[in-house]
Amino acid sequence: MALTRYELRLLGGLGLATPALALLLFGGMALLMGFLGANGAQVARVLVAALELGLPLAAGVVAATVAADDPAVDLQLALKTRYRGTLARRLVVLALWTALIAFLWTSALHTTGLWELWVPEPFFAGQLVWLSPLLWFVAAGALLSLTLGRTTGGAILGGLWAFENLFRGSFLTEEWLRPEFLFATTYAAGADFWLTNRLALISTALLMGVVVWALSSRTESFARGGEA
Amino acid sequence: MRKETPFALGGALLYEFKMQVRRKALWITFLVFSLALLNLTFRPWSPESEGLLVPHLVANWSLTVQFFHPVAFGILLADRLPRDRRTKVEELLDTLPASLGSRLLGKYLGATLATLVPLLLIYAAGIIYIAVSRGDLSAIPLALASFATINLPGLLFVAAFSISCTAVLWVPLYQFLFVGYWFWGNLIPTSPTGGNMMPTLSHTILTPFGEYMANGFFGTEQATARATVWEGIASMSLLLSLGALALYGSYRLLVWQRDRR
Repeated sequence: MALTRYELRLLGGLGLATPALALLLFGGMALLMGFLGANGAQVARVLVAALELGLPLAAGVVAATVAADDPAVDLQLALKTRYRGTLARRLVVLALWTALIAFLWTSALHTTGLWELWVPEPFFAGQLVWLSPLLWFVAAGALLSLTLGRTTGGAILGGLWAFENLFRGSFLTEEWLRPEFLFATTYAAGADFWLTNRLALISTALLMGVVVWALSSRTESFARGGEA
Repeated sequence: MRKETPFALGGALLYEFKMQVRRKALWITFLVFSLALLNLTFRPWSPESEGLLVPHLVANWSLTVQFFHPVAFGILLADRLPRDRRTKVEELLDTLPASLGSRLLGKYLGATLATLVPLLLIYAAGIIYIAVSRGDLSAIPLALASFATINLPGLLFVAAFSISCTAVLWVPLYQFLFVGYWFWGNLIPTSPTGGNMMPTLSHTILTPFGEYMANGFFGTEQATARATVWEGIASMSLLLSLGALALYGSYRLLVWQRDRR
């Protein structure tokens, strides 16, 4: 528990606020659309998109930063606790914090009746709207950061996000691309492949998690200081 | 202006350029982003480009390069200013005779020029392909004009905000906001018939994507916006002015932060 508290402090106010800010930005946009005459479904779509487009990217970028940004990582070469344990704890704390915010957001949407306007799945199965892309982005952020560095990792993650958004048509029509489409709820709510897509994303995230686990055992490779 | 300023500016520019151009991250990131070019419709070697005039082809290539690469461009520049704090040289630099203004301008120019190098190489590869496949060397001067008017204003705008915003914003937070902005402010469709009621800067004069210049100056049909030459000039001037304003704002902020220490 003390370690969790320490990790939360290490993430800092900004690290904790970034996923929440993502939701607030989408929320502000939805509010503006409401004023401009958008219908309920259009507003609901943006509020749900906050969970699928905004929150996971924010958590992924933070994960890319925390995975390779520990100035005291050299110390772990001399300690009994291995870096992979520290990194796993760090990513779990980030994911849990983001999940908590996401659950509160979905509950608020459910209470106000907006959730059902865009998400046809039952409420609890509907949590996969955010859970699948969240796990995918956190794992991908950590993996890219450990293999290519913090800056490159953040940039490629952002590039992938923009790429899937822009070429959503290909991701929806090409069957082999569908399992890895990160935004199936926003662009194809109610599609018959939705659940398969969500489970495939979680499987990919777990696979990336295993690679992160294996890579993070090489503490000495991070202890060189990385790119300043 | 203090006496040493030109030297300080030149020195900062040179070292920032060298630091940035030698980063592995720069080359790896642009290499990965270039893979997206294989999927964009209006690349010069696609069947859609066959019947196009050379000026349209060149302007389309400028737009194609401007689709995703500015995301990498902005993120790679975003950590340049915080780097001085991270490596704990900021206070040391403040004790030197070189003024903060020339160091900031040198950082902006040096890092931006270095980040332009891989982008220019990618751009040049497409232009060489156009010139050779069409047997028309006029593609080269056209490409210079096209890059200077379609790409450069937007890239200088992105660079100015990436350097300036990180004077106050945490770098990962900026990265997230910037990626979201690039999609929201440049690439999302504005047509309400597509079910999109979202207000956006996309396809407006404030779009660093460069479509006002592409349509206004080169007449390409790939740009969604339809613009006159004057609208192209207005878009270009606005982007450059806002970039300059952002840089000046960050300069005032850094002076204020230094004086408070």
